[in-house]
Amino acid sequence: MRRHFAMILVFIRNSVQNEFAYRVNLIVSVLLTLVGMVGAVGAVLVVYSHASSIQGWTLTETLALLGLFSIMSGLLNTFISPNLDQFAENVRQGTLDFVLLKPVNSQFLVSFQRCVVWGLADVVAGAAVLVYALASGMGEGVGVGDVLAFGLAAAAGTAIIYSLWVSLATVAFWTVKIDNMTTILRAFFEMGRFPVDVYPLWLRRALTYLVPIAFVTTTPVEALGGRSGPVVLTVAVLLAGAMLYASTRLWRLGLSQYTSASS
Amino acid sequence: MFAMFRVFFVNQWASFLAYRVVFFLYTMWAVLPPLIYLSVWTTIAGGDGVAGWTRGQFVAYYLIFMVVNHLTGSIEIHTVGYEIQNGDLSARLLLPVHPGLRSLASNVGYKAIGIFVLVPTVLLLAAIFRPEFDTTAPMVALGVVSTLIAALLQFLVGYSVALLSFWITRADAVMQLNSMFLLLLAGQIAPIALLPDGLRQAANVLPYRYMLSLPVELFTGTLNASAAAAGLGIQCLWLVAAWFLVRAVWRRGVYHYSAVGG
Amino acid sequence: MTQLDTAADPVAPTITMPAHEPPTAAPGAGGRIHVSRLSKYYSVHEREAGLRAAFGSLVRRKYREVRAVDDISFEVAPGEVVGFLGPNGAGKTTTLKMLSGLLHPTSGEVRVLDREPFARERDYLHRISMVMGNKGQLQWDIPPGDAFLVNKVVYGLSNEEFHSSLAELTELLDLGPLLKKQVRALSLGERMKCELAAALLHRPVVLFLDEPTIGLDVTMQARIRAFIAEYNRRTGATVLLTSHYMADVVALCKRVIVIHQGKLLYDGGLEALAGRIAPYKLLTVKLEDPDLISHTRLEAYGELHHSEEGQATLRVLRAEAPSVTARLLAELPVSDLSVEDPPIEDVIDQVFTGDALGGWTGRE
Repeated sequence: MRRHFAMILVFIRNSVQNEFAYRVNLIVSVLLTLVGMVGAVGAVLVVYSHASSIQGWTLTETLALLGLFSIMSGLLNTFISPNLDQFAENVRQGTLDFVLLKPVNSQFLVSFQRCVVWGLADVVAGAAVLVYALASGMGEGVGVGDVLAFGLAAAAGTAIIYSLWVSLATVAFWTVKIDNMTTILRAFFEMGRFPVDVYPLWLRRALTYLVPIAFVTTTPVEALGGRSGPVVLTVAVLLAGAMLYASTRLWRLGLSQYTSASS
Repeated sequence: MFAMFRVFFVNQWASFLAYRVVFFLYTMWAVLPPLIYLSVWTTIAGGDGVAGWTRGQFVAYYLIFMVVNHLTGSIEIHTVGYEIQNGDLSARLLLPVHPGLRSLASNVGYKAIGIFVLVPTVLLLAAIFRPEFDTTAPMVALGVVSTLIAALLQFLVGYSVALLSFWITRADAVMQLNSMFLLLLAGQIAPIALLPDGLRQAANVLPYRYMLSLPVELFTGTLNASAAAAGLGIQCLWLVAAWFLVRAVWRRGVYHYSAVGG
Repeated sequence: MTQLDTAADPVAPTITMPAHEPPTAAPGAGGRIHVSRLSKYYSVHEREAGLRAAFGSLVRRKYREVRAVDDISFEVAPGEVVGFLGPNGAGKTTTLKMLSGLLHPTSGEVRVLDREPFARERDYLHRISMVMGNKGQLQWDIPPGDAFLVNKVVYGLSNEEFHSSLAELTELLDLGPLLKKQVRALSLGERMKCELAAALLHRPVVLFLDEPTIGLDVTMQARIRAFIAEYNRRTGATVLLTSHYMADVVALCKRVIVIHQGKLLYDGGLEALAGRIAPYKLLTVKLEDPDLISHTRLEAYGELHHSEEGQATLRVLRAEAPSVTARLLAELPVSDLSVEDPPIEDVIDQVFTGDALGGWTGRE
């Protein structure tokens, strides 16, 4: 376990060293994050200029959601996306072999070996917005229990989005060209910008049972506001566990297909 | 020249058919983000509507938006930008036809095929959301014209940004910035009429409205005759400006490209 | 200073060793390999060209079995350097992949370091390494030095182990100036050196090399060969090597395994292979009077292989070589005469085109 943390640190370190060598990239990435956040907050403000509450969600609550979305998005862009692209490339060119020959769990390596540290800028910006939202009203009445519930739900949400990604990546074992599928996952993920309650019922259901984005951003913020009961939290955690398990099994299946281990 | 355009178009058609799944997925990208805002606004509008817009009107607006979004979108940052970065452009430069023509054909080809996936999807969404249309034939006709101009405008701007790859490695970042402005000021997060005053005034002046929102406004009949004329006029002005932009960038870019050995 | 002798290849630069003699590995330090009746069959979907056939294949698919590797067996003792020879598609790389653990065999038994490679157990992976000539493990945009650090953590090397290993490899491969440059800025040869270093940081005892010198210029090929030989000498690691280039095999491998169409054709020494397949020698004769070459009937002495300005080359059976030489010297005004083995390349070509062997599968 300690070795795995050490490895992640080395991956981040390498990315930092590599990216920081280019000042242009630094400036561009920070600029993009800032402009993106301004745009996103602006979008929420425009929407709320015509209503003070949407399906029970106030402006500050939606801003908190946006903050969490930005954090998740940042993690996605730092670890998940670059590795997904790298993995598809590895399968295509046969360089996956090197990953398999390392004495480390291949799924772990494929998940983290490549990281683009700029995504962390989105994490910071998102955290800032979240804190701001809490400070400007939403934070009243938030107790320790709520914060713990939030942490748990957010962890579950991260696990869910990770499992979705691993499952998508595994498809590369069979079809190889998956860049298009990442577009779809991204598009669904974008729906996490707003509380899932604003969507019509059928879409809400799709985002809960089909592609569980609801658990990634909506549930944790609800927990923070003390609005989700233990039932939802339990479901979130169980779902996260189930999806992690399923995606790992799918990965092993893909791997055995790659090494023609089937009889 | 038209013969060459047709050849490239057919070529592109064939290669895209090979990637049917790609098609389906790219069209989703034109549909899903507007769907977010469609949902948000119809929820806000509820039964009573908001700011003079009814639920049905929002639905009509956003469904048209999806179609126009697909028809006007620029993909050049992915095609041309890529070509420049890996040197493929060199081969294109030696052909007796401007590479831009090929890119344009590619652009049109992609949209023409995507339509086959888009229209059924939009019809399905219409059945689910039940839009309300209140427009006139002349406005629709103007909308068609405006869509064409908007598509050309986005193409020229997208092409210019992609050409930045001649000088910088992060042209994609510039495109992203462009997309963010499109999101705010081209009627996606909210119809421009609903934007707060300051933003609305900015939107009427900046090119983004004319890249995407204007055709939608015309199709949904939300503009009167004089507003429509004014809008189209400004759109044409921006088109001319974009034409000069792309010519300047191209000339400088190719010079730079050949100077550093392409 | 000791000098590494690479007499087989006249172009090779010599590597000078530092003053203190590095230890030669204890015998048996490398890994043992056992292969028995190993096979790998693939089911390939066959389709003819044409639109009708394309539709047909939608409905009913025809499968053909491809025997990439067919019932091969051999043993490799620790510390041996074995070369796999064979034309493209012969099954060499497939065999190597089964030995390293990347591919699951269809049937047969394979044990490396007394483990089943396919299980890819952690401590097995700690002790082996694979280098492929046409693919690399180094990422394009980070410098090799950083990639080595990743391997350090991946293989759990301590600081001392890592630094001493890196120092040794840097010295042997002359990596100093390369460590900080981005991989994409390195030339092919420099990249290959870094790939080798990355693969050997953890001091594996079994090394699989798949076409390691492909695409490199002659000087670099020689350097890589010299390095591999030295690594084997120092650490006693077992080395399995596939290559197109005879020079690689000649320089490094006393033992070759010839694979053709999935079958093992020959397993033994390289000279013996040549001797078995091409039991002749080449006599090159220069006469004092160059014009005489075209006039003299050299065919009386042996088969004329080829002739050019002032010299002719004859093919003569090995056994007869001494007597023919004597006759030539006695009967003709010879100014220069040399007796050589046929180039290995020609020999091997004959093996692959089936001329020399015909159904014969030799074991030494």
